[in-house]
Amino acid sequence: MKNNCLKFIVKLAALLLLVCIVVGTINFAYVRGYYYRDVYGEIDKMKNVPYNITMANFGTSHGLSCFRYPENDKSKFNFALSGEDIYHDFATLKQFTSHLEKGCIVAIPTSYFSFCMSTDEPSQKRYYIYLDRKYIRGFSFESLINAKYIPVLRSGEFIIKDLIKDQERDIGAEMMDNSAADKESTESLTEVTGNIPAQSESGNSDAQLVAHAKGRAESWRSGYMVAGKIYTEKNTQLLIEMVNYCYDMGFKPLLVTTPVYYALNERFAENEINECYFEPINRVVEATGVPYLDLSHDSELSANPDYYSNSDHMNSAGAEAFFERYTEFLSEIGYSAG
Amino acid sequence: MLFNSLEFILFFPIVATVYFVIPHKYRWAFLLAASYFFYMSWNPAYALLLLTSTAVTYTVSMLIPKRKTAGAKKTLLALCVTVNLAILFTFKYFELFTSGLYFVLDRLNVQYSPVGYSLLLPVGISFYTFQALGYAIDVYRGDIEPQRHFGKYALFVSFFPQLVAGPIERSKNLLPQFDEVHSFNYNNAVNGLKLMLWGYYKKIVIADTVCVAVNTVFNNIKVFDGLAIIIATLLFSIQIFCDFSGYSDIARGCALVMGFKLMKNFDHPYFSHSLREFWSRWHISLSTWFKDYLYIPLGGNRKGKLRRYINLLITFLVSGLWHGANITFVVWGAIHGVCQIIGRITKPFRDRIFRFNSESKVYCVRNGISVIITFVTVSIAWIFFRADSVSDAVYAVIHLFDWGSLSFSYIFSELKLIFGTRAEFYRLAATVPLFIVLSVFDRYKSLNAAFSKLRLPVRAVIYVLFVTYILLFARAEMQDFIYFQF
Repeated sequence: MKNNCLKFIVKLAALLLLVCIVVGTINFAYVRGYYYRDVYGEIDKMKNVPYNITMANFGTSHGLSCFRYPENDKSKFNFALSGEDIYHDFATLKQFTSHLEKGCIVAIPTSYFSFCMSTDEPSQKRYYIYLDRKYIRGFSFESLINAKYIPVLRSGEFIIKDLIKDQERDIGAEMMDNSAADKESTESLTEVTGNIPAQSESGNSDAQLVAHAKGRAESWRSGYMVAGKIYTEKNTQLLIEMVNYCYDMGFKPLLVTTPVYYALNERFAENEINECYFEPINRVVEATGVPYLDLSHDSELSANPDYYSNSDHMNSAGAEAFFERYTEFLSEIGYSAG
Repeated sequence: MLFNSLEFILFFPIVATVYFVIPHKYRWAFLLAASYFFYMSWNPAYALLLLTSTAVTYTVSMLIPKRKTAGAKKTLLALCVTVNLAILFTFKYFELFTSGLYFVLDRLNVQYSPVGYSLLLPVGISFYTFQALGYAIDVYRGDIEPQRHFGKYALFVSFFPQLVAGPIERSKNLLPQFDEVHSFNYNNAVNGLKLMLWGYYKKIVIADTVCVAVNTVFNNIKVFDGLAIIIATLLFSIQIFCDFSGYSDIARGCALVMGFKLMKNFDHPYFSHSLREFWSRWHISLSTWFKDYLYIPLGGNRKGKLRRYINLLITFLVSGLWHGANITFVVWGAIHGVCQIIGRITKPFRDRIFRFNSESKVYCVRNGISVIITFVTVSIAWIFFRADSVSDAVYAVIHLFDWGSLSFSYIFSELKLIFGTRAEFYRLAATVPLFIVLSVFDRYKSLNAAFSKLRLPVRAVIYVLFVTYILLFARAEMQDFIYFQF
């Protein structure tokens, strides 16, 4: 029996060792592959967050596309991540508080769906890469090992994508041409998977943006705004806490609503967008007295198709125009960096 | 603690190792403690229900042989059945009962507010209740001697590999195994791990992969066309088989590593030639339980054809209800019952019409067609099992052939709607076809036997590749086992 047991243990150990070698090798290749870089690439910035930051912003892909600081300016940092909810904005702020100077300007851009994002779902794996365990919602060691050390586990379909060189985003240009109903189930995943839909830096025609706005509004409505109303109160409270936290830490917070193309605004009824977005954000402003820059309906920024890569994301020209308005607003409210 | 969780991957090797290390006389106690720990990881409070069911059936089973009259024995058994079913009713069916009552009274214009309380369904309650009841009935019938050792009996009811989703073991098979001295056995360990690996493959690679498309369609059934419904239905047939038989394989594998042989619960059910055969291959432990403890006591086929059909229908209706506290499960059971009755009524005619030499090609074709017809019938019945409501299920069945067109673009757009992302489609394409090929191979030439004939280096390579494949294609979002809700 002893021999049998030893034989079994040796064979099992050898098998596990071989599996580790094979999985390790595939993992090595996978994290250097297109898909992993594409999806987790934006997290890389969190690994090298500079200290003494005097101007920072958080937020979703809308914040990501609007706040474009000079690359060599280490005193400004864009913490925004696509599909980021308020909870993880706040968690990221807490995680990197020591990197921010006292008096740092902290812009908190929110998106139309921000208040309708789930406050119950476990954190996505990307947060395991840079957030402390205490900030991870529904922490599990399994996810930690998977996200941080062996991302290839459970990623078979993405290995295939890499192998056949399918660089089409899961939710990409292909889907943009289809009906809103087609996109309804898939585009909501955009925010979850962290993929930013394919964007054109050179601007789009009005017709393209109008068509995109239609699909976008539908996907937000079906993905967040209808079912997500139950989360509004909790997200509002979270944002109030986040703003108060900024004040407590000696930062200068402000709320921002980034510009969206006029056609996207037209897709929402006034009471719908008020209920989902403007009422909660105004409550935050009232409760905290935080300055609020709302450029969502700005007549100049919202009407120019040359500023947009799609109906809700600005391109570099748009970002430049936005930043001008942003700095003007900072002077108006007496915020100066540092 | 799910079988497919990291906790169990740590729990099981520890339990198996300690089991072999400690002396035999303490093993039952250790396994009992491990089983309760396993069960309490869901909700410690529900261990009380398990203990109550155990204590009641144990006490009654000890008392029954001491009663001299048949009436007294029957009273005791009735008490035992009532207590166990009352627990099951309270936790599983009370809500269905009150909503049903509300539905009826509302139609009679009687004012009634359903009692609003929500209890979390204790995991595996239907499984261990039936296992315990089966034991009590066996003792009542005199088929077995009662187990005097309370600890060993408690272990029989709570044995962790099969506690929450079966197989529903028979006392004759499992109880004596707790008295056997199990030394580490190389073959048992290897075969057990192979079974577990196969079970994990079915659950976390196949079932959890197809469930995404299935959920997309069945959760929004009215949005989809017939093609999507058909694809989702076929995928659900695969999902439920892989989910449940996967669990059974892991359970049997765990037990086998420690030297316990649990009954086979699935035997290639989708290759059945008739519904009758299907039920002798699907969830065998439950089918035989119902046969032995319900169908036969009702009279079985001993009281004429009409009574036989009624008994059959009752058995399937109860079986449907066992699966869940929803009218959809009752309809699912009814479909199986009615189809079996029709099958039995028409069998003599069919046999007369389709009488072929068993070696002729036509016979093979007939067999093939009967397998397909059985599979299609079972799959259509699964619609009622999976749908959120009977109206959803009826909608799905009515619209099965409601297709837009057969153009490539239509099929492509439907696939896009079902799978959502291309990656999801790749995952399915990389997993399900291989599973079907392996299943067909296993049906006609045992996969295990063929594998065992290979030389060691080849086997080693296959093991490594298969384990790697499972690790890469295991679903990221862990899904509960479907049968846990029962």
